Amino acid sequence: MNEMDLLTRFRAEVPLGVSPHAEELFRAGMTDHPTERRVAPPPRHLLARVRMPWRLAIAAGLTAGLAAGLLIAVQPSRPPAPTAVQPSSSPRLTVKLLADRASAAALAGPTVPAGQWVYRLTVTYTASPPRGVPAKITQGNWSTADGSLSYNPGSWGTSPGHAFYSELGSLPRNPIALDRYLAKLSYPNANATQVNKDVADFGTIEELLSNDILPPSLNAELYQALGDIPTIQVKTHITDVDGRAGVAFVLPETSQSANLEIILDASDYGYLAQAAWEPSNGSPNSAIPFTETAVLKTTLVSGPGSVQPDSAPPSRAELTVERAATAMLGSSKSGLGDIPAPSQWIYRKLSAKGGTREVWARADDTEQASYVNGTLVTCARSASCASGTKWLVATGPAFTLIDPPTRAGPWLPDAPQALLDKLNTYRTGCTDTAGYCNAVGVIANLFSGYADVGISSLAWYFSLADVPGATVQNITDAAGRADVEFSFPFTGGITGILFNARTYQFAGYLRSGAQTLLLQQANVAGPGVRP
Amino acid sequence: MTPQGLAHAVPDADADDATVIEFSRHEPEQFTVLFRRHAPHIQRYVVRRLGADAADDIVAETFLLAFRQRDRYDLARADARPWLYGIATNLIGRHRRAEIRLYRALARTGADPVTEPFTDRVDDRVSAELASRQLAAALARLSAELRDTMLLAAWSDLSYEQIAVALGVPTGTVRSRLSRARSKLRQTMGDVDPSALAEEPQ
Repeated sequence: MNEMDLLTRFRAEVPLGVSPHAEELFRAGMTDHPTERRVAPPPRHLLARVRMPWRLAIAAGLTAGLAAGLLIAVQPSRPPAPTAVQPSSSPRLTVKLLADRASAAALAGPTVPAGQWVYRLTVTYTASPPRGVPAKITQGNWSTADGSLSYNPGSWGTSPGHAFYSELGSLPRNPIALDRYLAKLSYPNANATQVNKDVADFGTIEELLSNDILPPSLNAELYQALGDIPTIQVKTHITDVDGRAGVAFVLPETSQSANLEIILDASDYGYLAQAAWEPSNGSPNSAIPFTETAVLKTTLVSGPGSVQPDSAPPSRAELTVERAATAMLGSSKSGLGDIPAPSQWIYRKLSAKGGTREVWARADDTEQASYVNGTLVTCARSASCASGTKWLVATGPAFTLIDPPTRAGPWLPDAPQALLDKLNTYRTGCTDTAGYCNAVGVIANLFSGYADVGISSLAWYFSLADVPGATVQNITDAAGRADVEFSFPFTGGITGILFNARTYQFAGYLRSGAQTLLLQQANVAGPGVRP
Repeated sequence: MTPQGLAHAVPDADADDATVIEFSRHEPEQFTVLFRRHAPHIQRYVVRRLGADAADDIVAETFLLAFRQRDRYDLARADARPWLYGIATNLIGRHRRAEIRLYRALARTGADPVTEPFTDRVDDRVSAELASRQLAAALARLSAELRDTMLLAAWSDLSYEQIAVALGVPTGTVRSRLSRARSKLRQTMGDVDPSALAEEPQ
């Protein structure tokens, strides 16, 4: 069961229906001075504005038992110190000073191309996790430097569109304009209360700092912007969950957010971690526990799934694949359960040098049909006619490895290089086996012969970019369409795969230089039925 | 046909929401048609997020806010549900702590205060299945915007385009938020075995 099904069933026992009390309130409100009714939330309890040690002191004064419970519930992993505590020997670290130092450090950082893949090892700590979930979870994940694409084993993603730094340009210099600009990125429709704006600014900056490797100048501007948030504070002499000495920008808790922290390295002011904790109003049960996500390691790598340091800038093929992934993740076919059933009949119109031909096949290519001398001939792989049928997926993994019936696997490997190695174990009859010609042949088969599986096919694209010697060019194919061609330096077999230049949908392939094009593809009711 | 000048016009029973809203600008009472039509679904959505106690106020407030803003409603939008879900979601946002508290209560104790009133059999509510508890813990950790997007997608019957309208963001943002929320849920729920990822992959 995937998380979406689980979510659909979650609390499904809540019945459909409106309560009489709600209806009563609504009807009363419609007639009762409708324009004067207060819709704003009640002001927060005064206690909520009190600084942390005070609240603890109050709680401790209640009863010993309650205080102990409260301390456990609210105690962050380090002593809470909402205001900076400084050693007497060094100058007081002000917000401004921290912003300046962090900016200066950021400016000295390297410039990384937006499409560069980055591997991050992070640890997430939760103070009181639910039973069965460890308090510390260490995970590796991959993303492009601009945060536009992400990869975790088993899932591809795009970041929320607002945070692509390539779209940010340079930030407004005027602090008020900057405020408005950052808040708008996060909350286009937010009412412009100061609290809203501060939280939105902080959230946007936090997201950019934690997910992206920013150009140095933008990185520096963001730290300055952080320092310009009116309610921001600093906290010194803290350690992150990995035990590293840090200093933090702190956004004190608001009605919309917990205490939020961006923790920087105390010596070089590099980004270390983000944390959130909420002391709550005195009831142990209402505490949102301390959580922190620290970046343990950041490595530039050649692509998703790789952990070997590789700072070579991304190739044209790699950048093309990233654009394809972005286009696919942003399209309506975003892989949320819209893979056709394996038994679905699919109509395809193909064109090759010899003319066009129509083929009907099930989504998993287990049965295929075409007209022979005016008669529709249907053949299953298990039937005696199978040996004489030109199967769309002549060689390659079974469809169940791409779309396992129980969704529990086994799956094809997900990381591009591992997938490439696996697919290269099939034998397509080509000769350049060391150069991954078998893998390329199999990928052409998968694209042309199995149903469009949406983002499940993303790893296929990334695998193509990983083939040594792969190049990319824009071409006009024999049907006059604008395509992107991935070319491979093989002497035989599949030497190129074509994708639509805009949607990156599969468009055809080249075998020994000759094009086979997919002109039309549609789900139909059965063999012989045209869309 | 427009309602202008019709003293006691009422919309057809099958008139779309925009028509009902247009009528209600002259005949305020007509707005109750919208309430009857959509309040049951809105209520269920709010109860699932905040429990029955808090829901009555929010459902009433959603429709009252909509009522007061009906002059500004874009009549080109025949279906008012994105608008209503958007208002309800905003109001739920003011109770963020309460919502998270409920998820955490379920995650900690296995008993869900939200569904308890709707569960007849005692043994049903003794202990929710582990998956629900993990899900609740994961939901509590999602950012508000990811949670809003995710729960609208799961519980409202709105299309991505409609969710985008409800949340006031581009459709692409809805998709990317969903994708991100799903992967976060998957991570936190242990669909990916955390211990398998504790060491750097070779």
